[in-house]
Amino acid sequence: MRKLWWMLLATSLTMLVTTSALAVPTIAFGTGVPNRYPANDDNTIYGCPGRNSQANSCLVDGTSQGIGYHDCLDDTRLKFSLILTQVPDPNYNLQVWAGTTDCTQAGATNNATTGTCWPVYQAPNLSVSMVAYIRVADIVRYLGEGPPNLPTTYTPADATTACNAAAGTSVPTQVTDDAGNSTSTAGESTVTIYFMIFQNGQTTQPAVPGVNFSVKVKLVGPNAVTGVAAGEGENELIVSWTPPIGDTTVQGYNVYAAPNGTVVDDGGQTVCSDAQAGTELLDDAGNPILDDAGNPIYVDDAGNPVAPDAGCTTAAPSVATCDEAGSTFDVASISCPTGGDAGAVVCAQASGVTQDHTTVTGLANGTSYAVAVAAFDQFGNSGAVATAACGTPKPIDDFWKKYIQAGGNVSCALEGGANGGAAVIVASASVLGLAFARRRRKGRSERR
Amino acid sequence: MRRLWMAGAVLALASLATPARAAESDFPKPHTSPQWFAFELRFAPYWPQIDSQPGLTTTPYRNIFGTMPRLLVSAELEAELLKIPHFGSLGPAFSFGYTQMSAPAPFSAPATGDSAENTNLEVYPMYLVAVLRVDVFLRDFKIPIVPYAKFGLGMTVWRAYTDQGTSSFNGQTGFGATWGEQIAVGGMINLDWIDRRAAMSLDQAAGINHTYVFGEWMLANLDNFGSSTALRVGTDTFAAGLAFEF
Repeated sequence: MRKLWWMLLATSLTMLVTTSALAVPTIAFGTGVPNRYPANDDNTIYGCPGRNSQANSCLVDGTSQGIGYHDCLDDTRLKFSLILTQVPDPNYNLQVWAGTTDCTQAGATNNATTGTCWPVYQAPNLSVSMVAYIRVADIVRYLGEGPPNLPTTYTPADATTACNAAAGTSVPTQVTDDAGNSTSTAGESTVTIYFMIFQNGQTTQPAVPGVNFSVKVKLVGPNAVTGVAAGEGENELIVSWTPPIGDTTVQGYNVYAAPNGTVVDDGGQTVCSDAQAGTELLDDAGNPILDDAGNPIYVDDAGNPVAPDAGCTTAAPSVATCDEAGSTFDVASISCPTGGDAGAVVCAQASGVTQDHTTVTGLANGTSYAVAVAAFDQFGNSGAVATAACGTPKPIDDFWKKYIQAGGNVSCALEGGANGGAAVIVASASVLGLAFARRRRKGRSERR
Repeated sequence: MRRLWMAGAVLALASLATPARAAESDFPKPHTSPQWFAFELRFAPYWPQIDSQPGLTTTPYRNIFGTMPRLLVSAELEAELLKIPHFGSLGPAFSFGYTQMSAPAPFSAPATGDSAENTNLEVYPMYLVAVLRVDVFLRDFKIPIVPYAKFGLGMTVWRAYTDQGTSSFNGQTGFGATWGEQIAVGGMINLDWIDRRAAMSLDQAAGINHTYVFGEWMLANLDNFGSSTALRVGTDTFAAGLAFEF
């Protein structure tokens, strides 16, 4: 009898365990790699702002591509599609953490003392099909940080602050090019994003390790070029430089030009990110709801009040100058007008690590321009800007102008007689070709 | 000169139209493949005759590009249509080549000195000529020398340009073509004697009957047949290279 009782107890326990196991939710990624999306726009795949190479690098595949400084600064988000089973389940919750170590290990999350990972997403209630937008700024926010400085709850990062802080922790790495030249340059990190299922009340370790996605992060550009020079031509400057020796992270070079002494960025202007500034609270009539001090109230996506100037930055003025001692070019704030109508900044680009010159066209003769050069990497990061050089485009006398001025005159530039001659030659060459083909056929038939 | 050119043109066309009277048996070459064509890979220093144009007050070409010749690279294909026993062959040939000149453009006055921008002139010389090769010395007397002469019509397409594109000044665009007479006289040295077995192998494997080095004097008298309004991109030079008969 006792034996039977033990058997029943064991069977019951087994069934209980099995049933419990079946009830635990599972999680998997949906199809497709995570695309980048701009802030506040879930419908438009990001256009790779700041990216200067690899036209398709907006896809993040975790190996050859990744996150750059501009992706972070522009508050880009990565979109993940998630497929869950056994949900909704009030006993479990989804948590998304990021780190450079294994976040599924006990104590790696939800622990202010030992935690090595940081939360990057405020997950909603579980559902069968979920979409999660993870902000790049949140992903890189605590790079270089370790316990006990990592948080246990998610709060959105200020993009500018987080990106600059993370860039400041970039660890140099030693690289060697094919010629054997070694140098120290900004290195890259690999951050892994973990989507884990936790049982309510149990935060030591996830009940389900879930899925994870690794992405490379590099927020600092290559080393600076040297020896920038600006050769003068007609409506153009031929800009040359010496590439940073041995820096294999270089993918190409950005070249900037602006009239000497002009302000080349939005210096003094305050720029706000709507996502960070929050949403202004309005009453039913559409009027702002004021706080006790009479100021409008702003809240974030979670409904928490934020300061009205949160996410706003004021850029320092940057002036292009030919004074070598004080020359400065704030590359991060320069934008290149595609049509050239803005007139202040004209840019050119050169691809390839060994490229050492390019031509900036569309300039005005007689105007002194300051030019600057910065190398960029495959993540779109611009490196430090070399000392600016200056040049003044001037009219030139090319061969043709000299020839005409000397009395040269051509009356049949691919017209009239010349066309007739061309026709004779082309027709004769055709006859020659036909003869060639005919003789070849004849030769073959004779051999047969 | 015009009469001479006409004669050359008639000769070239006649060589195209005349049936090949001679068969391969005219030149008994046991164990060799049929021979109907010649190909030349040509290299020549190139000095255009631009500054010789009547009416020029200065020498614009020399002032910009200097006196250093450029390397003209070209290829020529000839059909040896007419075989003349115990003398040689006659046939038409077409050639296409390319070279380019580039130099820093000087600033316009009152600025002085050279700019960093290049001014360029590219030329595409072409010609259609009748080629007479006298190979009796090689075939009948085993002397590995083949004298030859060429005469016909030449034309060169040219373009002057800078970083901004094709040059233009006072309504005249720096893109055109000039044509005229094409004359050459030269000689080929047969290389088969260096290694006859290798030469035979080359014939059997690739159908190349003979290999030569050659040197010639060539004149491209390109002035639109005496026009004073033609960019004279012809040249009077020596060419050398490799030739193959197949």
